[in-house]
Amino acid sequence: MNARPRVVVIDDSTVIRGGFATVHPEVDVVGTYPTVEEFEADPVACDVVVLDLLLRGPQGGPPAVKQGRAAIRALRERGLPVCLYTDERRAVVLALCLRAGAHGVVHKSDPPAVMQSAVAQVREGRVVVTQSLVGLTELLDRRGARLDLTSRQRQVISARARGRAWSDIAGSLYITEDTAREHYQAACRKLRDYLASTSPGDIERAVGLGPGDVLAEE
Amino acid sequence: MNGTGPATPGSAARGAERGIALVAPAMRAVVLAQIALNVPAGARVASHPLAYAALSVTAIAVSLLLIVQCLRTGTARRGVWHGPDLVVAWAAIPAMNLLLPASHVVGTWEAWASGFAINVGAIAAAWLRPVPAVGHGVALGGWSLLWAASAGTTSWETALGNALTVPGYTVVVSLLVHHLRRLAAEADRSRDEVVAATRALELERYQLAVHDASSVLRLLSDEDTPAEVLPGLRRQADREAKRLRHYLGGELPVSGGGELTIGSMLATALEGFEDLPLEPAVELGAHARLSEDVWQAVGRAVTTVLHNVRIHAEARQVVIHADTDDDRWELVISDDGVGFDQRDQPLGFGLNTQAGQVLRDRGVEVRIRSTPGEGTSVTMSGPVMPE
Repeated sequence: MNARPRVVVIDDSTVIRGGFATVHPEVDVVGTYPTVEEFEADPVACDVVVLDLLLRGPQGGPPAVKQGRAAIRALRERGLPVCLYTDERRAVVLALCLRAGAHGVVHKSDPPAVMQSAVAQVREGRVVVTQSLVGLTELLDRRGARLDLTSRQRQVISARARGRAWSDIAGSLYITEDTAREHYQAACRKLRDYLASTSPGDIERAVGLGPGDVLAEE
Repeated sequence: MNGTGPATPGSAARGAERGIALVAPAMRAVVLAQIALNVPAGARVASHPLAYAALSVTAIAVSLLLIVQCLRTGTARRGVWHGPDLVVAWAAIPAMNLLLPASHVVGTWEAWASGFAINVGAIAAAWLRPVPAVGHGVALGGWSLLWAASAGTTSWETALGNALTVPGYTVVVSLLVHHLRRLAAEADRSRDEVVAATRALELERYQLAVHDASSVLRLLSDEDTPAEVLPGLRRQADREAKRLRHYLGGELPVSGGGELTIGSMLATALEGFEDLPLEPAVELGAHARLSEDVWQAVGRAVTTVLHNVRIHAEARQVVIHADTDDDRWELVISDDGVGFDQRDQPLGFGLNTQAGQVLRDRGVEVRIRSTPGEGTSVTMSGPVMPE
């Protein structure tokens, strides 16, 4: 496996397509596209696709381009790991994206190191979630969703949902930081597995929303 | 001299001194009246009437000057006539033996020196420290005993009894004056402590009132404050202005009449902090009900913590997490900013008082954890208010 992950960036922003490689020197940007359709028309081999959640498409182009969960599914059908790159913070929206097959979520406001770390982890098959999804994991677990978390995983998720630092969590649970991160990663995988096997309506009900309240099927 | 602290105008110490400076001249005036009444009779039987009269007039004159001195200065502690007063008392005792017949030396007011000595000893206790005053009283009594015994006209028991009156009264007055001054000093100290505590309370009340407003004003006045922050700051400035108007009017702002839950509290407290990278996760605890004063105090604390985050933390993420088990609620605000070392960096007024003491006073537990480079976490928890 190459040291530098090969990344395709799909984002309707010209600035992000042009500047992504400069801002993230630890990844190898092998292609940038404004839409999923253009990537499908001229694909390149890559380890991870960095995907903007909301794609407007080129001006004058077709009014409806694949985006959101449809875009994720199109890329997953090609066997490509997808890491979302978005400012969307609503946990249920992000949860439905994980359900559609995304492996990770990074906010555009996060520092470059977070994105580079997320790309590396997604390439290794790990699940990368944002703070809002950590809160959602705790919420789903407390409301009886079948995530099957162990008590340690539950403790780590509960602490991370409260924003506690890794060193603090490790100290209070008498484990190493690496062990705490392993519990966390395992809980994130369980979240993704749960989401993949649960209908959108059930997910929305589990968090107290009516079906379709947040994001209708595109 | 007795020294129990400065007697500032209006103080209890000053009042006590004035009281002593009134009682001492009054005691002397009584003695003077008795002397004045008996001087003519004494002069008639004195071997040297002129000398007797001169001594008596000197005693009266010195006493009058002492009385005026006490009344004018308002204290019996200082003045130039205390020394001459002692000299007259010590000189008058042998003079009675020399000037009056032996039969008049003991037990009469023609021989006024004994009565005068008792009063001089007692007044000396008002301007000498207790130990020197009692020592002087004992010496003066001994001096009186010596000359009374030398007259040979009475038993030694009677002479001793008369002589003991001098140190006896000195001890009584010394105790009284010392006690009075100590009480006055304690009263002044207590008053000073009350004044200091009141000032501290007022300062704290003022700090509570202006702490958040000062943060908002500082950012509004700073030309480097990003433009996107300004709309939120203006809304907060408007809210602070309303709160300060309530404060100036002596009324507490009301919560608005809605349901008093963690959710409604946060909806108000988070307003204007859109510039911060807030990550609210409050679904688990938003419905927990709070009493009105806890709702107010926790809301202020949340605002204060977020002002601190905005100014100091350089945070990439600020988690606001609420939870409840229906008996107790918990609210955590954690940032991943610069943090601080709790061992050598004391909490500022905002965290210590506004987010600490004010909440503890209302039964809310507060825990603050911070590590340099790993951010700061404030956890508040308290009982859920029953339906």
